[in-house]
Amino acid sequence: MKTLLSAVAASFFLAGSAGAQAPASTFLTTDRPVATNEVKIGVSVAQSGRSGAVGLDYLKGARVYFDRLNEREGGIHQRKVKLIAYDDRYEVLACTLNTRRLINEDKVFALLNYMGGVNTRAAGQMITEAQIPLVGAFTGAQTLRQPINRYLFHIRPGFFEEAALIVERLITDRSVTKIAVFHQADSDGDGVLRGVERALRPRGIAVAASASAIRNTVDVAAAVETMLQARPDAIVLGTSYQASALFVKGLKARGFSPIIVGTSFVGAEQFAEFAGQEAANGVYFSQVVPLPTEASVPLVKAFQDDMKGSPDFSATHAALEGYLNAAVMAQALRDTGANLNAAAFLKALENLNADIGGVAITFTPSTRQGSKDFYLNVVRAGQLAKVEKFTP
Amino acid sequence: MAKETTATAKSATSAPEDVNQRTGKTKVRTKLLLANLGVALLALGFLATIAYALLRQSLQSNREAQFTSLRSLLTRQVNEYFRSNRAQLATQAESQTVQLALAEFTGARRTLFAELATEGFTADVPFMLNLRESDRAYYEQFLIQGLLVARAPAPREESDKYLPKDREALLLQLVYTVKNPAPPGSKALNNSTTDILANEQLDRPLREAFFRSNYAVANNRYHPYFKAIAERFGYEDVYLIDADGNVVYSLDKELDFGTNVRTGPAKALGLGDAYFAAWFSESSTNADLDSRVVLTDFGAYDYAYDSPSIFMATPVTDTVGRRLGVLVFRLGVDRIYSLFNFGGRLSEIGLGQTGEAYMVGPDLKLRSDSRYTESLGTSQRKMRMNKLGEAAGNTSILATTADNEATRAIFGTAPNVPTSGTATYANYAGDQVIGSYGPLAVSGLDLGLVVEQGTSEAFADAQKLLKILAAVGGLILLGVLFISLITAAGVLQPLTALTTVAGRIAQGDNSVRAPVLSGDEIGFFATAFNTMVDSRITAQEKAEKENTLLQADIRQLLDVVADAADGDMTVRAKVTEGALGNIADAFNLMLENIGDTLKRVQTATTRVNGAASDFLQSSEQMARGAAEQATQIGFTTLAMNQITSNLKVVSLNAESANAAADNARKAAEVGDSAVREVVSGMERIRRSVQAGARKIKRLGERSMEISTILGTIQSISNQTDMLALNASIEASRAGEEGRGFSIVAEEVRKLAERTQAAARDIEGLVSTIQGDTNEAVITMEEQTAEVEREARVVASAGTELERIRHSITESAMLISAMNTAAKEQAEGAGHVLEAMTVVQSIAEQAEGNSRRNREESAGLTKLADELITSVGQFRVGAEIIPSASVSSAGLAPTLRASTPDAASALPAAPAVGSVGRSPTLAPLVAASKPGGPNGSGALSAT
Repeated sequence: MKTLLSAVAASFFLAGSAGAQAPASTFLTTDRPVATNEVKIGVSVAQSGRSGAVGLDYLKGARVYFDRLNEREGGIHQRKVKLIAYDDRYEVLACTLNTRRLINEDKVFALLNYMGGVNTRAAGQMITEAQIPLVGAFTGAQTLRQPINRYLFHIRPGFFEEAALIVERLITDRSVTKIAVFHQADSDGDGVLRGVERALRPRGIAVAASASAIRNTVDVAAAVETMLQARPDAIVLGTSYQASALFVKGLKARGFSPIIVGTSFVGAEQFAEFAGQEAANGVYFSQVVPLPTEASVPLVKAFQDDMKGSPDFSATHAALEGYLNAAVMAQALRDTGANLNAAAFLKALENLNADIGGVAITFTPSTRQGSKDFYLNVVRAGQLAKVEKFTP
Repeated sequence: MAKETTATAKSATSAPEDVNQRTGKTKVRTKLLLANLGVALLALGFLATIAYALLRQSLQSNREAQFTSLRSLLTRQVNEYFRSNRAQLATQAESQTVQLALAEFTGARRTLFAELATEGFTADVPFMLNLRESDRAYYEQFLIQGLLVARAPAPREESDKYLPKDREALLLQLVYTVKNPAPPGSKALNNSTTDILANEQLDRPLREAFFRSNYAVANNRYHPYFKAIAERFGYEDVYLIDADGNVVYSLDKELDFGTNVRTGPAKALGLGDAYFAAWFSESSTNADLDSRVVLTDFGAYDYAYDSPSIFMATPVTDTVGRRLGVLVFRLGVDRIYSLFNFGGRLSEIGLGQTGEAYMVGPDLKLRSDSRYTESLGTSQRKMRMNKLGEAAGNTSILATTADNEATRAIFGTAPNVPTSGTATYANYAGDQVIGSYGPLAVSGLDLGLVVEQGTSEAFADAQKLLKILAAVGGLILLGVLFISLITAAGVLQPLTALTTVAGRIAQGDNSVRAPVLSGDEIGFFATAFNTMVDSRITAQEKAEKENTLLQADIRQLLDVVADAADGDMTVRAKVTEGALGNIADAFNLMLENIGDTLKRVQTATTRVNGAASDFLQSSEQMARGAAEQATQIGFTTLAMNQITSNLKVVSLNAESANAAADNARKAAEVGDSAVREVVSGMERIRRSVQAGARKIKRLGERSMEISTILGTIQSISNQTDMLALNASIEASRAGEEGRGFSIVAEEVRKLAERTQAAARDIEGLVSTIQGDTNEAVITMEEQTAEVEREARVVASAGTELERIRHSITESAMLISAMNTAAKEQAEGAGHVLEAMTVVQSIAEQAEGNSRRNREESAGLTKLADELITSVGQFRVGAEIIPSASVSSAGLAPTLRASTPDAASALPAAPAVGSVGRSPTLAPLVAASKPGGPNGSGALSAT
């Protein structure tokens, strides 16, 4: 009896030790079971806090797309798409923990619609270990595009391309060369600054001035002073909508009205509402999706039709981007075929080449940049309007 | 006609007097009081409103600026705190010492039981079973008991929940924690190999085997290093966690030591989160600190009895970039809290008795201790636990909810409100506060920062000013009331006395006179009134006396006349001194001459009649003229009276205006002094801001002392370096035997180098503090300048008030001049009125005279007519005499009421029989009355 007990106890402790000595870096499971009637897609996005409004719209776009798809077509290959979304408040630690939960506990099949450069970068390491694709990230950060991460599929083009387009239009349409940048002091904001610098360099021009605002703060007084001293012809914004709006208001209050161009990072709708008509009017925006009111684009038409049935209708750029990303995800699932598995899905994504309602999306095994299109807007009477050029 | 006019004028002047007597007193006083109080209140209210509004506005913008600069200072300090700790953690993770330590501890833990067996201690089954139960007793005594206290009234936790499952953890905890004689919180002081060997609580075979183990040796080697880091930078604990999640090293060696953060209870705590996130964060030295070092929000940490803890974690890699594990620092709240309470000197930094700075999380719960923790309700605070697991006061961290405008704005819950700014709101304790708020903007840690102070204290100066103004205003109003009452009494008292006197005189009391109480117009009026009453009474008495005398003479004369009428011509009237004497004389003469003159009378009568007629005519004309004149004078007097009373009203008004101007001037002076009070208040604020600046400067100077200490550290490390060099030289001399020693020397040298690097880091930190301090001083100086600017604005307001006071004084002088002019005019009018009164009385006398003349001449004419008739009768003979006697008897009463002159013609008829009886009387008639002899003369001539 005593020896038996000893043997049991010894084996218990030996087993404990053996468990502790298991090979390292098995933090995340690569096991992704596929059900016959359901496919789970995971999202970690800000649903509260300062970025909550944008994040909720971004999520809403995807949710509306899958809800309608499930209703109309019964899902994809008889599998209903189930969206599992967690709030990360735009904080990296929460995003990391959400991602672990989605992978290890919910065992989602793929990830969708992440937000921000910092969060996406943290998720980037995890999806590599878990070998799970992430489709669509609300960031233009170049470091997430080059070098490429096999599992990270960008839809929206990056800040480098966006800055190049803005600079090209400013020089061609307005013949201005003194271009300044007001950006957020983080990796996303720095990306905007580096993009503009990079676009100006071949022309032998340097950025006329640059000023930054600490993330989440609205102290723009120093930046306004910098711009008043440098007096650039145009200023590119890479800041949150609040800081951007107060900055533009500050400039106008001091009688300085250069050409203002907001990047897609700003959040044009929120900017126009927060700044008020007087300050917002005449501000240009570059966008990575079409104007959500431009029903001539099939994607927008479908988006509007689907949104109309939704109780919380929201026709913003963020919602449309979320919708577009969901549509790309659905296309890849369709392309994979009925026999869904991780390898086949990754292969389908890598070879996706589709026209999603008038927006061309192309991935190849060596590229991870789905869309290359930009859309220009201007604020008129507090509303965004489509423009082709920056000519007034 | 003339009488009627006078009466009307009198009643017209007396009627308003009666009204005044009844209601005027209160009316005039009330008017005066209301007017003066109204002016004073208006001026005071105006001044008070301006002064209060200016001061409050200035205080508000001042406080907002002050709190915002304090908030940005704190934001920078907190950011700097986390930045430097991130840098520290990253630097440590990059250091070979930490990498070696992690590798050695990981290996030593893995081989621990094998080594013990080699050294002669076999962990048999009874030992293993006993081991778990020994540990359990300690868990129950400290961790479980501490959590029970901290989480009351939650039920007791099960120790199985926390007891580790693997034998390495159980053994490490037994040696370093459970059987360690040092109390919880001090285990780090007692864990060297010597300590273990000397620990009699451990079985001898165990401690003799364990103290030789690689783990004990590695702990000996690295423990002092981590202890030094933790002490210098204020970390609660330092952890090395291997790739499997085992806590292979903990500085404090509490019950989290040895556990697994991927599978054990710490999995769900900040330590597990930090470990996991750090595993996936950037490890490249090129990556920015924010993405390399993971921060967790304040969370209750079970192993520290739920004390709020922040974990900072970063991956540790080997030279080829392979992850070995994670280095974690646990930060307590004390270091951060010391930033927020300024070493308890909140009032010196300008936060007074109610101000404070605190951090708040996205759940709107506080992340730093409230100044009011102890006075908050139990649902708003938690037990503060010490390291022994005992309750030691309370904490508001993670317990107090600050849900208000400011905190909601920080976290973007309120739509379209900027995330930073200033606001006035009710804080978590329900007090109204003015605060500056904004996000802390520490990457990876979503916290807000609020600097606030109770409005009652922030605006105390304004409230004080209001109280001063109210008190001064009350005094001024009392003064105005008092002066107004005196003024009203000064005007009303003589008037009342005058009215009383007039009333008594009207009732017939001639002894009373108006009292002359003042030297002003009212006094003059009383004097004139008395003079008038005196002259009236004298005239009345004289007239009465004359009348009495006359009546006696007339009675005597009538007796004589009655006798003569009875036919006794021997009687003679007594010739008296008075006017009636002439009549008596003439009567006597008449009696004597009556007979002689009858004939001449007859002829002369016709002519007398004509002349009398003429006289009557001219008399009537004169009387009419006199009456008209009297009427005119009556009107003029009335008009003059009105003018005089108007002028008095003007004079009174002017006086009120004068008093009002005087009050306004005084009120302006009070305002001026209130402004001076404000200026000195501003000066006090400026001085307190400068005092704050000096404090901060002193802080900067203190940090210089750290530099001195650093110098000492550097020189020590230089010496160590030298020693190490010497040692390695010695070692190389020793050849192969000294190789081991040479490695040690090299390590010592590296340690010295790292110490130097650390010293340089501290130097950098000190200079940052000094930079911040200088910035704070500059901000403070800017504030001082701002206060001085405000003071100048207030001072210029003072100058404005001074100017207003000047212009008020000038208007007061003008009004005073007006008043004097009005008084002079009233005085002049009084004189005119007086003169008019005299003229009127003369005119009245003249009118009386002419009236009497008219009556006399009318009587004369009548007499002449009767004379003609009588004389006619004389011509007829003696039978006429009886009728004449009847006629004279009828005339007698008329004569009594008439003037004595007329009586000379009366006794004509009865005198018939007595003519020539008293010839001696003739010269008397001629001498006494010029009219008589003329008439006689005329008669004689006829």
